[in-house]
Parts: sequence; structure tokens; C-alpha cells
Amino acid sequence: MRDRSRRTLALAVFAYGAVTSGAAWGEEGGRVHQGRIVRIAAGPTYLHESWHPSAGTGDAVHTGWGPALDVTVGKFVRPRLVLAGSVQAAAIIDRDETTLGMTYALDDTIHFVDTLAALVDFYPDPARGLHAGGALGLAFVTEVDTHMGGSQTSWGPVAALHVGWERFISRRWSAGGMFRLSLYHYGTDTPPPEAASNGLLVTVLFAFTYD
Amino acid sequence: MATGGGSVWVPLSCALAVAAIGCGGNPPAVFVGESAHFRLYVDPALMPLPAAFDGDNALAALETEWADVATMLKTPDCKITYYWYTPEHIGIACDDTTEGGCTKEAEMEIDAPLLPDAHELNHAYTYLRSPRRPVPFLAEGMAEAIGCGYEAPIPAPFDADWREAIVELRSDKVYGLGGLFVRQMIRRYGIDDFLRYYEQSPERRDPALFAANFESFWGVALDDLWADFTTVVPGVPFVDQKICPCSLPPITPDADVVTDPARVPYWTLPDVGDGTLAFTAGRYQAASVRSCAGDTDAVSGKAVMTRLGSGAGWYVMAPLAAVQTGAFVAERCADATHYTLSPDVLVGNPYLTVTIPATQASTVYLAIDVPFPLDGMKVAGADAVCPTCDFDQNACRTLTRTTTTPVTGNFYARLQYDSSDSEREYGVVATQDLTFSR
Repeated sequence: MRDRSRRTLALAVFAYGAVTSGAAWGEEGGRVHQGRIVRIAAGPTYLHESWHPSAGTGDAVHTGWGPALDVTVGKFVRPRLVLAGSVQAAAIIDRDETTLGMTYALDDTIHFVDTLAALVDFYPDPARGLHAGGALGLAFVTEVDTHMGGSQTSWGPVAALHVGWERFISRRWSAGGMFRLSLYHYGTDTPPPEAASNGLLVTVLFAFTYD
Repeated sequence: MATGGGSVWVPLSCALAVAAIGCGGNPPAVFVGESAHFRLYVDPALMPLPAAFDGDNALAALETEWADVATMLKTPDCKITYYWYTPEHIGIACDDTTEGGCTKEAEMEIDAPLLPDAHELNHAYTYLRSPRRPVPFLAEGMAEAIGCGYEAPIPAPFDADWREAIVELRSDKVYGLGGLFVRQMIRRYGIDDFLRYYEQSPERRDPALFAANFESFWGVALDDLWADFTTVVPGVPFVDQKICPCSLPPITPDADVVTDPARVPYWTLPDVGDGTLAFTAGRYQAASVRSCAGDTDAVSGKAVMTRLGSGAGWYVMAPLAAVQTGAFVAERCADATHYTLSPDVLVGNPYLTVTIPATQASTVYLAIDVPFPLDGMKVAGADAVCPTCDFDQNACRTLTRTTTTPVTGNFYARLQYDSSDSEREYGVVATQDLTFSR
């Protein structure tokens, strides 16, 4: 067996082992989250946002990385179902702009994408710690030019899907990971012309949940 | 440079104190006085000031600049605190050793190594009009756009992409391309429309947004206009100097020329009809006749003769020794008004410059009086040189431009002008020089 195949197999075995051991721990401990929960999560996020001015001039695509922070407060309204409110803040630092085939680094800028959403999280088997869900809400997008000192905030709808896994690390705390896709849309008219933006945030979060 | 950063607060009591030195964090400066629009402090290292800027003259120079530029920008009344520092102290005042001057807009303070410093003053004026912060490409471009005199704008790297200049903060692209852009826009659309555009422009360094906003406002793509701005027409010199408001009074020919650079840094040219204005520079100086729009090369020389009709769109820098009007540049030799050569003509460069509007083919004559002893002096640059108006005699044969002809006293010169089609289309003035040597 070649080295690459061997590494892939080892990784798969490790991942399976981690999931099954976590599930086993949950089953063995019989511990599941219940009642009110608070989840705090942080991790890197990647932005891909397209910008379309109404005048038909050159579109632009903005891409970049930054940190994201997420706080979710909710409650198990059913044994497997959480209803929550979620606040996420993402700051894309020094993103790139591609327009007319050329890419320009927007140095000394921060592109904040902050979302406020109602969230549904479903645990198909709470003892295994796997969960998935979605959110609907509002995105507040703020452009900051740290050199110029100016900022401008726009807002629009956001929809997000996530999937995650968690295992208990103490009696009331669990730790895990989440993968989230957030789609948002907003419009601007200052400065002219009117323009529409569609954004996608891909976020990997390290999450801690408390009940 | 314009900054929105913090500045030194100069307390009123401190400002009013005798020799208010060392107040705040700026390098020490002496409070000189206050005028309608300025409060002036001067670096002690610059003291005593030269006579032209001593007493009230420095404030007068600032007020003259204010009034002149206000005819374009319609600047609202306000007080600007102006610190005139040595170049060595500017870096400290601006909190950046690489800076050559700065405007602290929020405090309406200028720290500059010149007085008046047109670049920094333009920053202050535009901020007074509208307290906002356009992208550096526009803000620095605007600061580089307006000015009268010898200070050339920062050159534009023609092959650079204007979009790169939009995202940058401080570079030759920002200052050079920004200045080129703003000057060309003002020339094409006028200052009022340009200011309307400037005051609604994006405050974020985003090339796509800048392009879209431009097209939204002007109805034309910036890429198309940019190509036009940077196209060099064959046979037509590409000239892009600063734009001068040219609101100061015209010079009075044949009268004593008063030298007061604080209040009269330049004169506009009067309408002398078909006559010629002859400007003579002071000893070891040069006269400089310049285009208000900054789109034509300056005409310089120990003596400058211009036959530019109404004179509109031109100004001449101070100081001058004399200005005369007459038929110094004449269609017929016999009609030429005699011009007396300055004794220090040999140290001029060029020596005697003659400018007329673009022409398909023109022959003009000069009558030059030489009131000083000649010791083997030669003249070059004329089509023919003759001791009399009889250019048919053998001694007055046609010359090449580089042929030197000995002159032994007063002489007449014949000049031939022949502008190309493109020079006539673009209205490029026709200039020829007479050079003198031994």
C-alpha cells in the first residue's frame, strides 16, 4: 500500500473512532443537552461576495478570510429540537477585489458581516452529538476603511445552514465543531449608483455548548 | 497629505502669549499674527523672515492665495492655523518623518515647509467646503490640481493602472495619476461640476465602486475618458501643469512694476489687441508666462514677447523688471517697435522668446536695440538677421535656426513660423527663441 493510501485509511479510521467514541461516551454517560443552552463558537470564515452596480458597469467579486464569533442562546423545545437566537460577527480583513479580470488587494479595510438570526437546530440522535439546522435573519454589512476612518453599514436578509458535532467534556459543557454556510443579500445606494451584493460566508467553528 | 488624525491643540492663551513658543506637541513655533482666514505660526529657525514675508506680508500672501483660489472653490470663511516649518521639523509636526507637509483637517491646521503651500491649502479648502474624505486618489489629486507658479505637479506614471491608484494610500500613482485625473477633469468639465462630483464621490478605496460611481455621475466610462486623458497626440506636446485661477489683476504695461510677491505673486495678461507684450526679467532672473489651464508649456526667457491677442488664459510670474506693449512682433519690419536688450541678456536661458498663436505660415520681424558695447556677440534662432530692414541684401540671407550671426549693434530679426496641422487643431502656441553668445 502506498503511503498516501495508508494515510487516508488512517485518517478515516481516526475520524470514525472519534465519532463512535463520542457517541459511545454520550450513550455511556447518558448525557444529552436539555433545557436552555448557550453555545459560544469561534473560527475562521471565508467570504465570497459579488457586487453588481445597477448602471451596468463592471461587477466585482470580493474574497477574503477573517475570524468569526458566534453566540447562540436557545432552548430544547422538544428532546431533539432547539429553537434559538443567534448572533454572529465576522470580520474579513484586507479582502481582495476582482473586477474586469484584475485583482486588487483592499489593504487596511475590514468588511464586517454581522448576522442576527432565529435558529433551528435538530439533533437526530442527541446522544451521538450530531446536529444540523438552519437560520433566517438579518445581515448587517459594514465597510470600514481603517486608513480613511469612514464606515458604511447596509443590511439585508441572511439564510444559513449548519451541521455540527459535539461531545461532552464536563457535566454541563460540550465541545465540538460546526460547519456553516451563510447566504446573504443587501443593497446600497450611497454613494451612487444603486448596487446589489450577494455574499456567501463559509465558516468553520469550534463550539462550546452549556446547558 | 491630508490626515484626519489628531493634532496639537494651541490654547488661545498660549497663542496670545508673547512669542508663544513650545505650546503643545508641535515643534516650537512663534505666533506671528492673525488675519481674516489664517492664524500664523513660524518656525524660529526660519526667523528672521525675508523682507517679502516679514511683518504682515506672510499673512498677506496667505490671504492672497485664499482669495485667488476661492474664485474657483468658493471656499466658505473659516480660520486655518498655519505652521510654517523648516523641512527638518515637518516630519515631527506631521508625526511622520517621510511627510513633506500635512493638513490636519479636523483641527483645520496646516504644517507646511512653504508659504503659501498650495497643496496643503487645497486640502484645507476642499475640507472646508465639504468635511468629508474622498479616496486619496481624489483628495491628493485635488490638492495637486490648483496652483500658480513654478511648482510642477508630481509626474504621473502613464503606464500605471488607475485602479491600482484607487486602492493605494501614498504613492506616485496616488499623487501623480490623481493630479492628472483631477486637472483633466476640471479642464474638461469645469470646476463647479467637478466639485459636485468630488463631494459625492466614494469614501472607500474600492476600484469597482469608484468606476461605477464615476459612470453614474458623468454618464461616461472612466476607462474611456482615461484613455483620452493619457493619449499623446503626435506632434502636440503633452503638457499638464497645475491650474491657476488667474483671478488677480492684469499687469499694467509701460508702468513701473511693483515687486510685492505677497500680494501680487503673478499678474494676468491684459488685452493689448494686436499688440505685443514684452516682459523683461530682473537681473539674473527669467520671465515666465504661463497658461492658466496648465495645458501649454510655460514661455520663459530673459525677455519674453507674446502676441496672444486678448491675453485671456495667461499669466506672468512676479517679479519682473519691466513690461511694455507695442508692435514688438510685427508683420512688417518697418512697423516693428524697437526693443532694448537687457545688458545681462547673455545669462538668460533662453535669451529672448517670441510666442504667437498657432499659424499655418507667418513671418514676423523684431527690432532689437543693443545699448551696451558688443564684443563679438552672435545671435542664432532667427530666419534672417539684418542691420536694417533691407532683408534682400546679401548679408541678410536666410539662415538655419542654429546658425550664429555676428551682430555689431542694433539689428532686425526675421522669424518664420509654421505650425503643423495638429498644432493648429489643438491651438498650440508657436514659440521661437533667439539665443545670444560670444
